[in-house]
Parts: sequence; C-alpha cells; structure tokens
Amino acid sequence: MLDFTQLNASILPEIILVLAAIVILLIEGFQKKLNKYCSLIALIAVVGLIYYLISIWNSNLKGFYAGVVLDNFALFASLIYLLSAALIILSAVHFLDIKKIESGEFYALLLIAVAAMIFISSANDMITIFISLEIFSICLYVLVGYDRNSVRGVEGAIKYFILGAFSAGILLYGIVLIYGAVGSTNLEALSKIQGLEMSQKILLYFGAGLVLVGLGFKISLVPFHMWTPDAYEGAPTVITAFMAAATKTAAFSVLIRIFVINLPSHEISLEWILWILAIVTMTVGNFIALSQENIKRMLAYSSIAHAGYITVGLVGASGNREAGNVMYYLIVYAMMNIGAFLVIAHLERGKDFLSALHYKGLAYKNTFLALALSWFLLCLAGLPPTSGFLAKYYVFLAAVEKGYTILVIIAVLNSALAAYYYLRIIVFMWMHGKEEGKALVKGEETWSLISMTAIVIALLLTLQLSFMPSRFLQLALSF
Amino acid sequence: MELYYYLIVSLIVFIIGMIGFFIRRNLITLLMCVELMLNAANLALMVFGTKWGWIEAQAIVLLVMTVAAAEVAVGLALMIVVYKHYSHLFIDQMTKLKG
Repeated sequence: MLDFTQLNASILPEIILVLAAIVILLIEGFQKKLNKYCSLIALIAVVGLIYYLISIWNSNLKGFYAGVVLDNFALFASLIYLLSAALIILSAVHFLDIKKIESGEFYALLLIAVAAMIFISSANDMITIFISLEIFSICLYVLVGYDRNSVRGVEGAIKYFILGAFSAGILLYGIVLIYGAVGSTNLEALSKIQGLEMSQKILLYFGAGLVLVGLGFKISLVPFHMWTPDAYEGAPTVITAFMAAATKTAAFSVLIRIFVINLPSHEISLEWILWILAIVTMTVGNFIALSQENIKRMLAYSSIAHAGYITVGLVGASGNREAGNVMYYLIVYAMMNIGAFLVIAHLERGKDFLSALHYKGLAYKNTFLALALSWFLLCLAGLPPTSGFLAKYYVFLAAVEKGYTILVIIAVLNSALAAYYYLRIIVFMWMHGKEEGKALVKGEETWSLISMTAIVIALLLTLQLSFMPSRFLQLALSF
Repeated sequence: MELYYYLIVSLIVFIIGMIGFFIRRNLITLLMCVELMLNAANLALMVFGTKWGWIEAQAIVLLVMTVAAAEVAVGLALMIVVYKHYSHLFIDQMTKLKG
C-alpha cells in the first residue's frame, strides 16, 4: 500500500524548490516591478531547505516503491548543492547587475537544477538517475549560454550541449544494457544479483563501462573532458562556480551509489579502469593548467585535476566509510572552489579582468580580497593547515590502506606540481608591482555588500572545514 | 531467438550514431546522430523489456522520448543564437575559446 505522507516527505525538498521556481517565473512574466525580489525568494527557499534537511537527518525516508531514498548520503550531497546555490544566488545579484543580464529566469533555472540534483542523489533507480541528470543538464546548458550577447558564452554553451547530449545517449545505452543483464533498473535489485551467466556478465560489463563513460563526461575525467575548459571559460563566472561545485558532486554521488555501494564486487570489478582514469585525469589536468593565462581556464583544468584526486578516493573506496571520505572531499572542494570563483566574479567588472596578469598587485588595491583569494588557492593546492590538505589526506589514506600505493604516490607528486600554478597567482598578487595595483584602481570597482557577504560566508565555511572539521566529518561519515 | 536480431539492429544504429558524431561537423547533423543513439537505446529497451516480461519498459521508452524532445528544444534554441553570432553551424570553426 502506498503511504502518502512518506511518499511526499521523500520528495518534499524538490517540491519546495520547484514551487519557488514557478513563483519566480510567474513574477518574471507578469509583475516585472517585483523582479528584484526573485533572488530573495530563491534565497529563502534554499536557506530554509538547508535547515529542514539538517532537521530530518537520520530519518531515511523512502518513496515510490523505493525508487527514491532520502538517506543520510543523499542529505549530505543535497547540503552541498544547497550551500553552493545559496552562495551563488548571493553573488549573482551583484554580478548580473554589473553585466546587465536579465535576472528572473536565472534563479528559476538554478532552483530547478538544484531540485534535479537532489533527485539524482536520492534516486535508487537508474531511470530516475537518467531523467534527473538530463533535467539539471538542460538547465545548465541554458545557464552557460545565459548571456546571449556574449559570443564566448554561447560558444561554450553549444559545445557543452552537444557533448552533454552525446554523453546522455551513452549513459542511457549503458543503463539499458545493465537492465538487460539483470532484469531490473532498481539499484537495490542490482546489489542482490549473483550467479550470472557468461552472456549476462558481458552485458553487465559493457553496460557498467558505458555508464562510467556517460558520467565521466559530467565529472570531466580525461578522455571526456574536452568541453570543460570551454564551458567554464564561456559561462558567466557565478555559473562556472556552480558547475564546478554542484555538477561534479551530483555526478560523483551517482558514481558512488552505483559503483561503490550497489554494484556487487564479486560479479564485476572496474577498479583497474578507475585506476587508469584517475592517473590520466590528474596528470593531464595539472600539466595543461601550468600553461594557462586565463584564470577561469586555469581553474577549469584544476577542477579536472581535482576530479582525478576524487577518483583516487573512488578506487580506494570499498564501503560506506570510504564513501563518506569522498563526500567530505566533495564539500571541501565545493566550498574552496566556489570561494575562488566568487572573488573572481566580484572583481570581474568590464570585459576583461580574467588574465592572471591582471591580478598583479591586487594586495595593494584590495587587501581583503587578495587575502581571501590566497586562502582559497592555498586550500585548492592542498597545503597542510587547510581543509584541502585534510580532505586529500583522508582520501589518499583510504587508497593506501587498500594497497594502491603507486596510485597515491603519483597523486601526491601531482599535488606538488599543482602548487606551482596556484602559488603563481598568489605571488602575482602580493609580490608584484605596487604601481600596477594602483593603476588598476582607475576603473573604481563597484562595491557590493551582498557579494562581499557571499565571499565572507565561503571564507568562514572553509575555515571551519579546516580547523573545526569534526561537525562536517560526523555528517559525512554518518551513513 | 529472433529477439537477438532486434538487439543487433539496435547496436548497429547506436554505432552509426556514434561514428556520425565523430566524423560530422554540422551541429544539426550532430544532434541527429545523438537522436539515433537515444532511439537505439529505446529499441534495446523494448527488446529487454520483452525478454524479462516487464511492461514498464514501454513506459520508460516514452519518458526517454520526452527527455529527448526537451533536449532538442533547448539545443535548437541554442543553435539559433549561435547562428546569429557566427552565420554558420560548423562546430570546428568556432574558435573564440582557445587556450
């Protein structure tokens, strides 16, 4: 018998987000005067949901014949999306104003994307996974090309769209093959299979491989990363931040749910593929990032390298505890990356403030922003007192304990290499041209309290993740 | 046994779509190739649905078609904007973003 209260409770977060999105669309359509309240509505919905999700921790809601499971894993992933979305909304108010982009639909699409991401993390059925993946991808295609007048934005969007659609086709075929092998799209049924025949095993291997490729496009593992730098550079900077943090988390949470938690390891093992992908991804990402001048493009390649480190965590994961470590890495990564992008978005006034050279002497012009950006970059580099180091430490430790020493050695060497391009920006900001810094003031930055607040919140969150991580670790390891 | 013939057709269509995606350069053709891949998946889904005797497979096919339609709508809208900027639709000649 269907239990309607539980059924609704399991998708309540999505219902609230979509309702808020509809209200925003109606305001946009019929009450142009109230347009400036759109961001406020979106922010209230998102922040309210953060409190709601923490209040229902440990309740394990199920709905739709166990097709949707809102367990602690899904709640933690949802927390990452909602925190990211809250910071993005705060920063976007100022950003869209400066760039003279219309704002209403922006927040509606953002909220729908977040709703679909919560769906994908709580999905326990591969068809639900496919459909929610498509929903948030479609929202993101539009958001990347949101500034119609910018050639770069549109070009990034079309490249992202065409490869995204291709990956969706591959992912769907993989899901169908897995269904053909085991006779169910439900992940719980998948975890219980045993004693497959040879032909079924072949289908399962091909299907799992195709699913890995399809999701690999979304998290930009290396042979499938071609769209990442273009889409990240072309998109409005706040959307780049959202894509880097939330999309990656969504796709990784699906990978963990399918490959670590549910795919039976006695029937099928894909660890060696992930092993190769991890090494190639971090090495290629770091080496190309070394030679980037555009700071958004550099962070795009750095995000590819980070996808490699997180894949190391997947290789080392054999159960819920290690999966918790990967989730902790994801929240740390989301916060520090969003922080860095928010500073860039705050500074980006005119057409071009994106080359690394523009950051020369920033410390003499705006010491607080320089300090914040330095801190975020140090986190990304993974230097010891920061949260980036802590997250890497847990993830690598799990891999070593499982016997993947060579992989971890390569990963550590890669982190050392990566420090170069992060520190380069910091050196530019602090040790270069006092005069150049003064010269930059000419354009007189437009000061915005709201986007400054977003940066301060991101800063506080990364500081908490660095020095008092126990609360977040507890949440991450509670499933 | 004859179910396998349908499966082979689906595989061939999928591979045609994939090869087309790699060798063609016009955005509209690329979109058609992606549609071929999605429809190949639909055909395979029907085959396996028959094999396992699971009627919901047919409902899933409809869901996939809906998703594909939504994707095409957004894709064509994007292409119109791209055409306004470039006056052509060849993806290998869009090189504003390089680094």
